[in-house]
Amino acid sequence: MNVKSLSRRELLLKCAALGSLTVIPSLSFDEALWAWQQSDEKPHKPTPWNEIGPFYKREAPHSAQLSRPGDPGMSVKISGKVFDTRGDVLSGAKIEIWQASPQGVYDLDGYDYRTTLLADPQGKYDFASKLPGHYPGRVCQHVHYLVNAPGHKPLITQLYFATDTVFDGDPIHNYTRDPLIQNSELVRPVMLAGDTTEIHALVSFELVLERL
Amino acid sequence: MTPRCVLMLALLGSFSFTIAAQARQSSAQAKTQTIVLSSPATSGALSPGADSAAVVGGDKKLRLWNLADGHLLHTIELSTADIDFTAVSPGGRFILTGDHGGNVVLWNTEAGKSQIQLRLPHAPSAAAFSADGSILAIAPASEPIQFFDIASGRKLWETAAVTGGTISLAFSRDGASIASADTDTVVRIRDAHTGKLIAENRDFLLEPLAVDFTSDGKQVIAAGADKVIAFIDASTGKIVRKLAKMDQPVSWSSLKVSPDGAHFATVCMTAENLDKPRPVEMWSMATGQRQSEWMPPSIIRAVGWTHDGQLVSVGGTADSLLIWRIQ
Repeated sequence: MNVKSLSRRELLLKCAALGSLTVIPSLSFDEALWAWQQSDEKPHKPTPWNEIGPFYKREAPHSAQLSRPGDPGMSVKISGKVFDTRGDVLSGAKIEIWQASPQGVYDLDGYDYRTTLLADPQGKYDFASKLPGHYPGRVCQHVHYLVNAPGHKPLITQLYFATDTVFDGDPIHNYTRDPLIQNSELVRPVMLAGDTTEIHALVSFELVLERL
Repeated sequence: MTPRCVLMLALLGSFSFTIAAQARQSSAQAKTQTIVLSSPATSGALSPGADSAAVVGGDKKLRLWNLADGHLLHTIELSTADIDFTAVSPGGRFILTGDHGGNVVLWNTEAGKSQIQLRLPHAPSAAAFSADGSILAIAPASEPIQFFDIASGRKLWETAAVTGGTISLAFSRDGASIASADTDTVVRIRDAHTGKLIAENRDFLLEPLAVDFTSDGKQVIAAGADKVIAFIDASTGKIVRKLAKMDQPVSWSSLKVSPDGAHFATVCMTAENLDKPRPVEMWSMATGQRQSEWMPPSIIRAVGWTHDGQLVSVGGTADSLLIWRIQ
């Protein structure tokens, strides 16, 4: 069965017609609808910028699977949506991702642990990888992002993992142990999923771009 | 703090000046100056003529040291020790500092006062002074390069935005051109007086991390995460010479051409271990051959040439600033 999704206005009109929404006499319906929409369209805060680092490599091929069978380390599935600050999804946004291997090494000669993704029509993206390794000279595990969408300021940022041992279980207070992390919003919760034969981490990371 | 701008040193208080011959796993030797420190430092930089070094201490003081005789030249009080970026003008007349919050100040070292104050979205990721010290180019991370007339403090122009911004900047010696290594992996050469793009090179797949002009200004030498050293025609942007692939990338702003233009020096990073020291390497401009190298006992944070052609490297430990003069 096809279900036509109603616009906010249509839904409210239907609710009002069916009696499930009542507007007090001091407000016109249009005023009430405007107020409702305003409260519903809270602007999204742009994802904080974070350094690009020295190992960005252009032209990474598309792949939603960054690790290879047999690679060591904890599997992780990272997903999210790309929005602008008005909350509109940015389908087709180009998302370049790169990270160190589980051993803490960036592939400079090839494209291991690098990919280019496009946000789907709902603005969603996802990929599977391994948790990046720690390496000397950098404190925390991290994944780099460069996101481009027409009409929007490119977003350069990094994703961090709340389970990183560096945070001692308290990333809200301890995130500055990595001097490059200047905003705790970039440290994302990690959920474990799967079963005893295959356990993996799940991480959600929304990307909010500013309009030009 | 970013690795490229952090001299993990400590400074202040007592000062000692020692020289000792050193030779480590290399054909070159170095004489070592030691400045004993008593307060952890957050940032530091070497002047273009390698005659002075600026260090920000944990005590919120910015100090300028004369490296020739080891004297403290100037001390400036800062409002924070949380400085991400420091750069020194030729002769040490001005020092640029930038903090986490994007508060950028150009300090007049003689007067101990600010010459230019800016509020930028981020701390600078690169900066350069023209050889005559009249023009300052600042590249805030992820933002266009901005040019200032230092005497008047007036902003002259800014470049078009480049995704990710600029990592390294260098003026040609006559001040006519400026080269930038940009994070979109492009090397750009612009007219330094107008900002007009003269040429660009898009042959790098990874980020170029260091640029400098040859002494005649006709070529730009660029190197970085691609692990190659490329000579780029400054008027066309085409690569005219490429040296053999290296084992590791040349590090941030760690490629410097000698005053006579006959040599250049590089320092690489170890990509999988940014704390591991790498040798300072000296190259012949004419042949492109590596002529000698010197292995430091600890990681090099900055490299430069004195006006009389001496190669100087700066590093440090928890309690000292180390200056190596490579023979």
